[in-house]
Amino acid sequence: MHKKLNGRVLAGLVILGVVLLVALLAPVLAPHDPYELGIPYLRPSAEHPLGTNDIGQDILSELIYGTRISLLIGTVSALTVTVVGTALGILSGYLGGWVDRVIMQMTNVAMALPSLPLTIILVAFLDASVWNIILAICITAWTSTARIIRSRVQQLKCLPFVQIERTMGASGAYIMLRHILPNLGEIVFIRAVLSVGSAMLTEASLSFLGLGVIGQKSWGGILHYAFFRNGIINGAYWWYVPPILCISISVLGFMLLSYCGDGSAHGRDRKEKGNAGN
Amino acid sequence: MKKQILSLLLAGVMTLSLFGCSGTPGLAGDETPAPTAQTTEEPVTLYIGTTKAPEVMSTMYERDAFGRMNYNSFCAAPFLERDENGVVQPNIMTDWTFSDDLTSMVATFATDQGITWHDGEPLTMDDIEFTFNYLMDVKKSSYIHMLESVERINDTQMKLNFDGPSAFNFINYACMAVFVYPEHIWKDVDEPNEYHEADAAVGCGPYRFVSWDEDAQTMYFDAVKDYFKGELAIQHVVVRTYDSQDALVMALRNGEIDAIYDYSNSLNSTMAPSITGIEGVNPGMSDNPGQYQLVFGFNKQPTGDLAFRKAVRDALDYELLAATIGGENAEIGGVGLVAPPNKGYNSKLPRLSQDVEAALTALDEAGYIDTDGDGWRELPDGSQMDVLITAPYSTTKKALFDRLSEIIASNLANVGVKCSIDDQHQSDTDTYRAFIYSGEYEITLGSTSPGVAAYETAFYYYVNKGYGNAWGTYSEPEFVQTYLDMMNSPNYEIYNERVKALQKMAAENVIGMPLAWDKCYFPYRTDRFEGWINYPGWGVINNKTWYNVHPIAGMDD
Repeated sequence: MHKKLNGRVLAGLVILGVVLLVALLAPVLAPHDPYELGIPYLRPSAEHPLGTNDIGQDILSELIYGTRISLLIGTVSALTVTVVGTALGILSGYLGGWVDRVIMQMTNVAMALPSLPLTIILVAFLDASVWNIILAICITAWTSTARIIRSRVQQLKCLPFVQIERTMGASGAYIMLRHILPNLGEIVFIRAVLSVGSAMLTEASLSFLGLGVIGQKSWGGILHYAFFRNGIINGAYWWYVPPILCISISVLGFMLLSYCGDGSAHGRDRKEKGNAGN
Repeated sequence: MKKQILSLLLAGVMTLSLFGCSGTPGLAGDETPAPTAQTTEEPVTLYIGTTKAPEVMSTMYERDAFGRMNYNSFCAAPFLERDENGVVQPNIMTDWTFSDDLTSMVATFATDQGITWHDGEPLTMDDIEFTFNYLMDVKKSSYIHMLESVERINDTQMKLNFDGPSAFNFINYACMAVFVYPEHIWKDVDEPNEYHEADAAVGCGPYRFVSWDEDAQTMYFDAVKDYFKGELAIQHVVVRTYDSQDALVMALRNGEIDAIYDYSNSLNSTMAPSITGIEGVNPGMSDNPGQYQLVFGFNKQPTGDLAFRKAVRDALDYELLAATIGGENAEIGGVGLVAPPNKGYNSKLPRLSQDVEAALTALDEAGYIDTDGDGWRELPDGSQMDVLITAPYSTTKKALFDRLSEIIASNLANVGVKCSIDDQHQSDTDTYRAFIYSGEYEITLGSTSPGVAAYETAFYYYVNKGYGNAWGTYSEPEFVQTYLDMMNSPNYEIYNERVKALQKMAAENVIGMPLAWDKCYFPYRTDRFEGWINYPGWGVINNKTWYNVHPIAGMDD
């Protein structure tokens, strides 16, 4: 069982390791400057393994540099979403009362909003920049993390070790930071990892719709120009298939990595069940 | 694990299925479906595809598919038409004589030729008189802004009085889009743009509006019997709207439609491979009288400075711009701005060319020096320079305008000029228009439609002429006066001379540059009909289609 799970995680780690390396070593790996203009619409060749786009930029180089933006937006968004969602979830779950009601009402409202259309509207109204895209993604993406964390915190705060801390007069902040938060590690990690994939997909969607930063290299941006500059109807598969594969494989990598909590989570479940039996 | 493998396989299949969505140039035609057979005895139907949606079936409304079809003398009949050379031709107005000073003209109308409105009422001189007065007083049509009054002479003739020497201007400016309206329908309508009743579609053109299917985005028209201009070989016309040019091309390749018509919206040249070499399909390529262009803002610095403008002209990579806009068939534009298919084109002026060294020298000599060593030049007064490149809001051309902005910004960066691509004013039409009409732009991209190019020329978008729907900021008095004189030319000969003079001045003062002289593509099928006439920049659906196009002989079941 554990070997099977580790295999998934290992596969995820390998994929993400490669993606990370490509992002870090982009200037070394890219055969050309991705912004360098040249002869448009060249088919794949030794000089341009994936051909050139509609303004003569090397598609492989764009793809390599695009890894940076996709990863940056994915990880920063996921980090933000996770921090915000976790903080709200802990406060809501631990404090309860009116704090819980307010946070959960906010969560319900945010969950009721269609996230992608809202993100599109936000991006359209904000100036186009990486940070505004991240902001637009984060505004609606924190809700599910907050809810899951809240549920877990509500379970944890009833456990004996938390009750003992309370009896000993520990403050709420101390308990939340020193005892609750460390016990949320697995869930937070899994949510964070899944959020990266989700944010990368959202970024790709936004860029595909032309809402990215003009001229910036991202996988969604490459797809945008491949579609709107007629790469698809003209059969230039070397232009539009690679970014699709990159997005899919990266998201798959993050999803596989999210299995890393499975073993211990199952173990914990068994342990908790055992305790309940006693 | 099996599930994951299956999921991966499924994802792979879905990705690969995208290959199927792409066209493979040259292959689709091999599997062209057998055309729907039509004999000359059976009613003949012509299927036209467009991307403009039908909105209101009113002859007063121009912005939807119905209105745009009327530019082809279709359901509503214009007073005058334009031929494939851009020269005005008679229609409901059959003849005209200008006064010597061009402040009036006597026009003859086809009110004695048995024309009836599509509801059966006869077309009379009352309708003609009503139309002019209605357009002047109620609709306040900009097309006839120069018309002051009309006086009926007899049952076929009328004198038209202008506010200046505008008679020749009138027949050119009012050509094609000024239609005759039935008095019995419109006389009580005070808000013509808001009137959308069924009879708003009544015209006296060769085709009568029958119905439209809103869900299917399809309009149906029938030929008018015994039309005064000649026999109509096509009995029915169906106009279908498609979501995108991709869908339009696929419909044409599949034989779903016979021809594409999209006013001022040729297929992107990057789609040329998808319509070239297909059996039964002619790409419908023609020279584009319109163009994509760069416009300098003269109210701002550094673009108000001639030396800077010359440096920009020298810095740009016109080969790449032409290839990006028009693929392999596009040409580099000329310094005179007016494209070759237009009247008055000055072939003696040179084409644009990139000369980076000249650009660098011009900038140095004009005082645009990098004084703080950050790699970017400063303005001559030492302040920071960051040139804003704005492009129009366009849902269909956004990707192209973004690319053109990128190229220009990159080319200017190569000579040390920092540029920012303006995405703030491209978010919607209102924002863009508000900005552009403020005259505060520095460099703006744009396009001249074939309709504007035909008489008003590309200079329409440059000159600060004080009237009309344009945003030009170039106010040099001689240029402005020459432009106004051009608009009020007495004949084509003098018009051409003035257009040439404007080109020379534009070249000397570098008021802007064409980014390419490209081709238009309005493809059509050749396996069902023949007799197509491809108007440059317009396509095979035009005012002559209804009389010239006919089924290919021998086509039967």
